[in-house]
Amino acid sequence: MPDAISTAQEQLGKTHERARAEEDRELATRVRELGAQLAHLFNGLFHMARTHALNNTAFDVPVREFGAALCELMELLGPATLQCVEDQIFVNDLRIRFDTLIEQSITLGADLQRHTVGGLTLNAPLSDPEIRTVVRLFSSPPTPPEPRTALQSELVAAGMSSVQVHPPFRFRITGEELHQATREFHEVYLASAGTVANVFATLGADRLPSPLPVRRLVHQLIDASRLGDAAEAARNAEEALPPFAQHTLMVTNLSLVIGRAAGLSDPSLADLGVAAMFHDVGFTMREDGYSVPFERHSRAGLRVLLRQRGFHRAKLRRVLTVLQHHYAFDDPRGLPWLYARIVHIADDYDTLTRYRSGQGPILSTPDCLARMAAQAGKAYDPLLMQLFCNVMGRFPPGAILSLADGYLVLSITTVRSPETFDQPLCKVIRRPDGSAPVEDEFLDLAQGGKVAKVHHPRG
Amino acid sequence: MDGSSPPSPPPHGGSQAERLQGQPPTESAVAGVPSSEGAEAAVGQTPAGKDANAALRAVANTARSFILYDAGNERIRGFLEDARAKVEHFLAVHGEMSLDIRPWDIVLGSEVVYSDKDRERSLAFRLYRDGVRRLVIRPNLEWDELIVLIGILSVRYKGVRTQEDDVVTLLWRADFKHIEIAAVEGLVASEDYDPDMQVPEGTLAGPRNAMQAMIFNAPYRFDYPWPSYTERAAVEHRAVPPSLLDRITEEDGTEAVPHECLLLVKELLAGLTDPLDPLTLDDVTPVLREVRGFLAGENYLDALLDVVHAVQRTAPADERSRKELLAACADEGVVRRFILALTPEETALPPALLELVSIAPGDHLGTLLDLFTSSLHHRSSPLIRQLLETQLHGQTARAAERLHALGGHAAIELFRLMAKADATGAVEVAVRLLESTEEDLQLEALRFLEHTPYGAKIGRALVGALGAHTSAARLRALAILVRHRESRAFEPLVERVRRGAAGELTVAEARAAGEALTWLDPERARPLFKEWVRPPGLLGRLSPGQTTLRWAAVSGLPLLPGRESEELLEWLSHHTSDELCRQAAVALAQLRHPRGGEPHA
Repeated sequence: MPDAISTAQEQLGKTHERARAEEDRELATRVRELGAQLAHLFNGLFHMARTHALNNTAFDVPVREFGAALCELMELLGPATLQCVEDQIFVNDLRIRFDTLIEQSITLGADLQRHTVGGLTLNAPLSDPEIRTVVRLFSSPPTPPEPRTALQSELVAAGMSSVQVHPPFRFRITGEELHQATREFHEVYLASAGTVANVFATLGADRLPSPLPVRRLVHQLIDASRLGDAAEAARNAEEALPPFAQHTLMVTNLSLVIGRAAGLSDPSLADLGVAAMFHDVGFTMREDGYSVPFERHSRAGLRVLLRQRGFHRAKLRRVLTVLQHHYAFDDPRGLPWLYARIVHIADDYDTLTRYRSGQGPILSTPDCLARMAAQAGKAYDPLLMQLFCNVMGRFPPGAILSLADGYLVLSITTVRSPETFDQPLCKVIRRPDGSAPVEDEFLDLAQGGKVAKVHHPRG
Repeated sequence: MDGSSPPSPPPHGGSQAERLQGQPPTESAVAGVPSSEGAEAAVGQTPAGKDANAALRAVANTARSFILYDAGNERIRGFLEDARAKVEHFLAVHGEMSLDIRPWDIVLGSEVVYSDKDRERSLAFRLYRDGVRRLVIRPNLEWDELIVLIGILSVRYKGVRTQEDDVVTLLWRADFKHIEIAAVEGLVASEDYDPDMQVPEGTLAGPRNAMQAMIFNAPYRFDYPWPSYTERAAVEHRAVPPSLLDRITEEDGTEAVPHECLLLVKELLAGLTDPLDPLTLDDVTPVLREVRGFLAGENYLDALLDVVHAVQRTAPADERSRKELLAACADEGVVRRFILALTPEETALPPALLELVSIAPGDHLGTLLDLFTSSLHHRSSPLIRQLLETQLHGQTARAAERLHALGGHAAIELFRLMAKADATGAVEVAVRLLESTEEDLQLEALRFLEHTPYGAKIGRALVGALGAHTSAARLRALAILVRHRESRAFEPLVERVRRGAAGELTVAEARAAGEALTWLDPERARPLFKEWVRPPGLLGRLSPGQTTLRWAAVSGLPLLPGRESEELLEWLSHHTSDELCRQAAVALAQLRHPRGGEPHA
């Protein structure tokens, strides 16, 4: 009979075996090598610029090598981001290790910090002259009062808007001031659009999927949304987002809402969130300049995700979600997988209720929910549909309601308790006298107020 | 750790791990080998500090030990025992261990309890650089949690990097109940207000390159066609019973992974024949291999067989595709894994394994022969033997090659399996074994041939065995020939006796030969015996093998009744001495007063 130690040994053996199975060692090694090369060359160019003019032939070789390394890295992973944080250097989220002797000579962080820059993203390959220009600008004295802004402007003026500079960063630690959560969710939500765009653009350029930045983002969304109703923050934020990012993020949020209601653990929620983020990744594939049609976007998404090598349960879940998220609950091929059933609800709900510029939503949120509820057991998993209804309420966020007392209001919260299932917190659009509030004004239907009419979009 | 009374501190003289560490390093030891000496300082002033230091060094040693040793190694066991003992001791005596992580040190309260500036070895450096800033271990820590933590640290020490997770996401995913971690969760702007970070109302930082522009600006109708539902249902709150939610968590649980694998495989196979947008083998086979690797690694035999069945049922009709797909989901490596996973407690072969062996492409016989010949442990496994037996039919020639290289008792065992699996094929092997220089192998072959339907081939082989290296083998072969009255053995036997008479032929053999000659061909034996008893000419009488020849004769003559035999025996009893003389008298008495049967009626 094995004892606890033997069992632990077996468990640890499996841990290592699984980690090896997930690893794409070749890719990781190459990315690390290229990242180290980039950081090292960049550092060297700055050092040389202190004593040599940029047109000196001494720069020829390192500039060429930098350009080549950058090109190869972008071929693999897309835009290259170099960040200096505390005394560490990261290239595309990989911490770069240097030999001890070399590390002592790396002053890259300090060179960037002079311009209040913490890192930069290179969105396109750079030519030799462009690389020299970047080095020149960073080597020049910083321009007060806002050196980073000045530097970015100079880059744009030099025709290099593909080079994006970032402010100094620090590590955010778990448990930091929770009162910032609401603002953080808003920021996270907006910042995530950039992540989504980067990831999808990278995939659309036939590069490898990189789930790790998406996973970190999803972790932040999960943690931030735990602290309160994220519906309003999400709705407010998404107006600033382009349609595809809007849709992707909202489907992710809604999927997390359903998953949490279903009792999924945090690690499972994270996998669900990442799967939801990638559910429409197939549309990044291009044919003759156009994205693939709807009928083939699931299959295209599969192909994209399968570029990632190595077995990982999260990848398996993502792929199943991408393949099956349009399958009906009663599909004759068999029951679609759990995350696919969740994303199906979230996907259709957002598609039908998302505000479309110039035309509004297809359906109002209460009407959409009622029609989708009628499909429980047919198109949608009845249990998940009920959980969704329990969370969204009779008047989900986004519903425009006329109250009996003449107010015209917008529902902004999900269900706060079973007792207030049809009594959301609302923002006043118009008072009974016809006037619009100057500042944000709220009505809590749980305190009083009766819904007289639900407004539906025209057509 | 489990609520029992506080364990005593590690015994005087150190734990097993420390004693192991004191042993001289092996030839394969490289830099970074766990050691209780070296750069890890034994710091700590207070009793709590010293105990924390001991616990942290033990955890570090354990995590690092996987660089050198496989998880099953006895040394790993020692390290785990040590780590457990020291962590348990600290928690029992001092309570919660609340640690702040610095680049090279770990601090408990205000006391440095761990310090190591070697970046390859240092636990503090590893944690700090991977993003951990605080580690709090609560007194009711569970053993499983400590193992998970060690697992995460050890994977990182080995430098394994996945695209899915880093240390922070792994720690987040571990969802510890009794370990609290403050770790880096990403980067945030270090300034509270940054104009670059403010997003102007209604806008977003625009696309930075043409590729991003496609995503940001393209108005493609990615959500068309819209679902179209006309019916409505009342939207009401209904509490969902926990039992229904349990079904969801079950579907999401770890044990559901094999089912998820099967779902994916079915989707991929369906995609191969999709008329609209078919997948290719290049799309599918790498995934099948990954699934195969996972299922085999986790010992999900039934699930892997389900995958194989799915391939058999739905793979495209062309032979090349089917073969490629099948090989991608099951091969000899997978079969070998499952065989090695058989436990001593199992008394019967899992039907799924038998089926897999019959379906999976590859040289399973080779695998089984490798296992059988490589160790006594595998050789003595009844299940491996059973499996080997299933593979040996029609493959005895292949197995015979191993057999000759194996030798000894192992070869005998292998031969017996071959004989059981394929008696017809084993005949050829047995015939060849008669030429072996190992007596045991020869005897085993003879034992087998004795019970095999007799034929010319066996007869020839047995005749050849009359010249075997050992007496026992020669006697056994002779006995079989006699039983089958193989008359073609007469001349070779005579030749054998004549040649061996002067040297190697023992008396026992000579006597057996004499009897055998009588049974094989009494007509020819009679004049032969006469020649051997009373050879013509002086030379014949004086030849060195004369006595041996007479022994042969004296054994065969009693079986040939008649005056001539009696006269020969009488002459022998008067003209020889010692034992031969006595035997001749006995034989004569037998002839004159027979008890048993005669070669000829």
